[in-house]
Amino acid sequence: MPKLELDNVLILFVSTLKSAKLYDEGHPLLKSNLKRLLGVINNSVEEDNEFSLAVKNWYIYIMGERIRIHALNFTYVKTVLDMFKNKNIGGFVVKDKLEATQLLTFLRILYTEGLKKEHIEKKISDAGLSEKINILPLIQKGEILDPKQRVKTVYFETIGLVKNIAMTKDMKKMRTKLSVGVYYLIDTLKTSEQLLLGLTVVKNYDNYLYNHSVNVAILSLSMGVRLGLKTSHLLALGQAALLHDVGMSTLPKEIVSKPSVLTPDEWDIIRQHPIRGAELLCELLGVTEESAPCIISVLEHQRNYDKSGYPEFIQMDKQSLLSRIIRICDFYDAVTTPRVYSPVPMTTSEALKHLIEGSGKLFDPVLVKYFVNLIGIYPIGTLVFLNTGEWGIVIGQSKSKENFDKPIVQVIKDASGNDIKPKVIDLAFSEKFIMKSDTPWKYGIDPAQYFI
Amino acid sequence: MENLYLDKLKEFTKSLGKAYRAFKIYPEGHEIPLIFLRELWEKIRELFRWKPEISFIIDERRLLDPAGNVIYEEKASEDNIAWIFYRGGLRGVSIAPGVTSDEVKEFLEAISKKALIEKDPYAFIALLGQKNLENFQFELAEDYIKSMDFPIPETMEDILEHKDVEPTGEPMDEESEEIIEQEDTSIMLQAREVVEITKDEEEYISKEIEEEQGEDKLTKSVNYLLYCLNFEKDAEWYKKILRGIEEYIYRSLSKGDIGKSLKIVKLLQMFEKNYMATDITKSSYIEEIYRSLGEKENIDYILNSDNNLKPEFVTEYISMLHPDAVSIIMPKIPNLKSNQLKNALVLGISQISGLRPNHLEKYLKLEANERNKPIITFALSVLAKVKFKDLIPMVIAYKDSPDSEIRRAVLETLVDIGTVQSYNAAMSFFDDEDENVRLIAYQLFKKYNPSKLKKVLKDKLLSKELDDLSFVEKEILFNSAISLDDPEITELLKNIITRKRSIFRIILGDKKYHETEKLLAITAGNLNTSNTFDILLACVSYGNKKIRGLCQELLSNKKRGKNAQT
Repeated sequence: MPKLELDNVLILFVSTLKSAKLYDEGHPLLKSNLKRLLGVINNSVEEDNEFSLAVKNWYIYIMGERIRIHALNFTYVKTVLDMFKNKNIGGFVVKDKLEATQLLTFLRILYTEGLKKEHIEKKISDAGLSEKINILPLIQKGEILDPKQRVKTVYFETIGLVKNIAMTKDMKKMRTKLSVGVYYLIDTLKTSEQLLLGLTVVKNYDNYLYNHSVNVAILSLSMGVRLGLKTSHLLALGQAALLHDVGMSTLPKEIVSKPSVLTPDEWDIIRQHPIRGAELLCELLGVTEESAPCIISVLEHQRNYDKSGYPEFIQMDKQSLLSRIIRICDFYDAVTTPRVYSPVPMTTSEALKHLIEGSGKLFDPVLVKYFVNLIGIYPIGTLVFLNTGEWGIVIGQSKSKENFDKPIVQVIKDASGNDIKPKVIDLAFSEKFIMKSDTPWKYGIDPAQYFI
Repeated sequence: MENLYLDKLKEFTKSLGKAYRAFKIYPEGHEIPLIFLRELWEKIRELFRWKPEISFIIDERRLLDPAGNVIYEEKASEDNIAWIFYRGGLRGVSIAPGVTSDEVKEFLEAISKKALIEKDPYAFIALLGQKNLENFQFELAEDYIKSMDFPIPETMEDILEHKDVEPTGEPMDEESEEIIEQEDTSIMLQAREVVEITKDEEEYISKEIEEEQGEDKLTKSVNYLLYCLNFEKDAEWYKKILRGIEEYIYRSLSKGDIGKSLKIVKLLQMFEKNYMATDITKSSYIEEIYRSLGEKENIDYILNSDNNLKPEFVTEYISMLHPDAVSIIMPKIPNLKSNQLKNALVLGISQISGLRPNHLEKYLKLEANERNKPIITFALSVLAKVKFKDLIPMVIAYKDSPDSEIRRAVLETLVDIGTVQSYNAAMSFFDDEDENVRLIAYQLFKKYNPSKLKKVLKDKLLSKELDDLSFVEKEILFNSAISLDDPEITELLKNIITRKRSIFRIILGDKKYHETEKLLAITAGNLNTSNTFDILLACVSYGNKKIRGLCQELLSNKKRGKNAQT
């Protein structure tokens, strides 16, 4: 079953379950949902001998394939996970074709409150369905977080990781933790890219530097995944991105966060940060196969595609691919983050404009294209004004390329600018469209509140 | 049907366990683990004929299939693959059909590094991340995420509470305000135009990725760091770079890549020279590296490298060490089998700057037993190169050693030292009881001190025992004597080849007597010094009948050879 369809199957399953709970047998919506779900299940049974929907830890598998979690399917994923967890079941397998009434009976057993695995199995047996439907046991060890909580935990713990690295005196202990931290980011990106990208709108949490580094790592890794980098290279990219600005932590904070124009001497100090970073890594990580890409990127991330930039004294044959990726993501996150000297940052589209204008000079032009494709023309966290006058925050990108200008939006204010109960709209399937976009900071809105 | 699949899964986990043990026990590249890998690979391929994915859940000491059936269970922790996965932070593994046997091998290599896991529970996931296991999907333990004890916000208030507090002051400039006010419609249009990635651009990216993967990042990073080293003014930061570089040097050494280490050490040497005059602190930091390069562990890397190192690299490396390194190398000499490595070490030690007689002295005082013999001869070889005159009496003391190998080393050392005292001492080796030692003495004196040799030759040629010498010694003796091309010696040789044979000796049928003349004639025939004609002519004119013919023939050959040359 293609990946895109898996989402639809999950949504169909939850919708049918809900309509079975709300409506009588003859209701047209229930009848239509049942018919579609029955078609999916019986088709699978015919082609693959079974249909399965299973939960393993916090992942959902349909026919053995893991579902990727994003803004649009998140509520459906959570509904299934919560329901199965409450009932202490790990899913079900349909081994023979079902009639519509049999499917309805099964769904009604499933949604009945208070039933646990053994009750469900008995009721299935009483209904004469035990030959056709098997209930899977719930296999979980330790604490299981829901997908959103897990993504959040990975995100904020990675900020903690960068903080610990910048402050530690015994980096040798942090070496493996750094690899593991990045591996979790890669793993989370592969299953919940949109949720993780959404969190990059969190800015200045605990310390600008640490938060920024994690955002750069997420953006860089997302690009890396799209470019088709192998895991070992993604690991190097993630580590390099997390540590690209580590040298900043050695500079005086009054200069790094100076709220007014820097003097030439202060600029000279700021320009030392790549060297300081590399020196710090030398001491902390040593010069090894694993640390070498980080050292290179730390030293190259302020150099440009045309080899300008600093530190000038390094004779660079060619900027490494990882550094070029980090260069773009670093720029984007830095200019879209409010700082004390610039409380209202660039709009995301302004940032894109700068990237495009800097193509071929500051940035690798092809990578800029990939980056634009990654974040879309309405990047996550953008404030949009709809044709209805409503205000919304972009929380996800449309899945289809044709709808790149129709993102998934969380509507937050009505046409009069009054706060409303947030609702999610996929503009690709709506009459509504975007009239204008802007940075939420300009209107005193911190988009982070819609992502935590 | 399902039960059959379950059985196949059990066979697969059993095979996985066996392969794990083989990979754990045998070293990398050994054939045995590959046999188990092939068996496991067969099981995997068989499972893919049944279902599109192989998936199992890790439940402490057992593995379960997605339906909760136990497919592997071991009570003991030792060699329990489920426990290894569990301890390493994995809770589930899925294998996609695109998996290759190379990936399975990489996976096995990673899980078999058990020692690593026991030391640091995070190391396992870190190791898996370094492998390119594109068709493996791992479910990671939740509790491993929460290791930083970092506050995770639940509400916007939490976010605000932990906001970075930056210094306050005037806003920086007006430029940022301008940016805010700009409309973004044009950007949308530009963005629309660039979203299409052309085929050429896709190819460009593939090429870039390939290049990135093939790049020697380690060398590149070290080159960059050397730029930093040259640039860095602050001694403390300078030291940090050096520490990193030092680790690189050791790692290269431990992998037997002495060439890489050398390249860097040489550059550091250059830096050190530059700093000598300007910055003593920096040069002393570099000197510290040399000192630690000669530490036991690093020396072991070289001496235990299965003789795969290039001798010139070994020499160069050793030559850069601190003289104290000699005391680490010396005790290891008896265990070295390769003469090539030993020679490289001798050369290297002799080139260490700052090497003093006291660094070798105690090894020359050792009792000449079986264990010490290699050390003494090694020390003598070093001394032969460094020529410390103070140590000559100690060398001479070994002259009468009962061991011919030591005596031979003493002879070589004395000749190499090349002083009057050492040559005089070495003269006694012409009468050494061991013929090999005597022969070496002829060769060495012929090469390094012909005038001293003349005296020895004169005595030997006049000696009554000449005919009693062995064939080889006589040949070497004549060769040395003719090669000297000295009139006095030539006269002696002519006397020998023209001497009248004593009737008494003929009667006795003394073969040696005849052999001496014949050997002299042949040796003269084979050499090209000017005196060879004189010797052979004397033989033709006045020699014994029995060898006249031979001398005539040799002379004709020589003339022909000479004519041909002209």
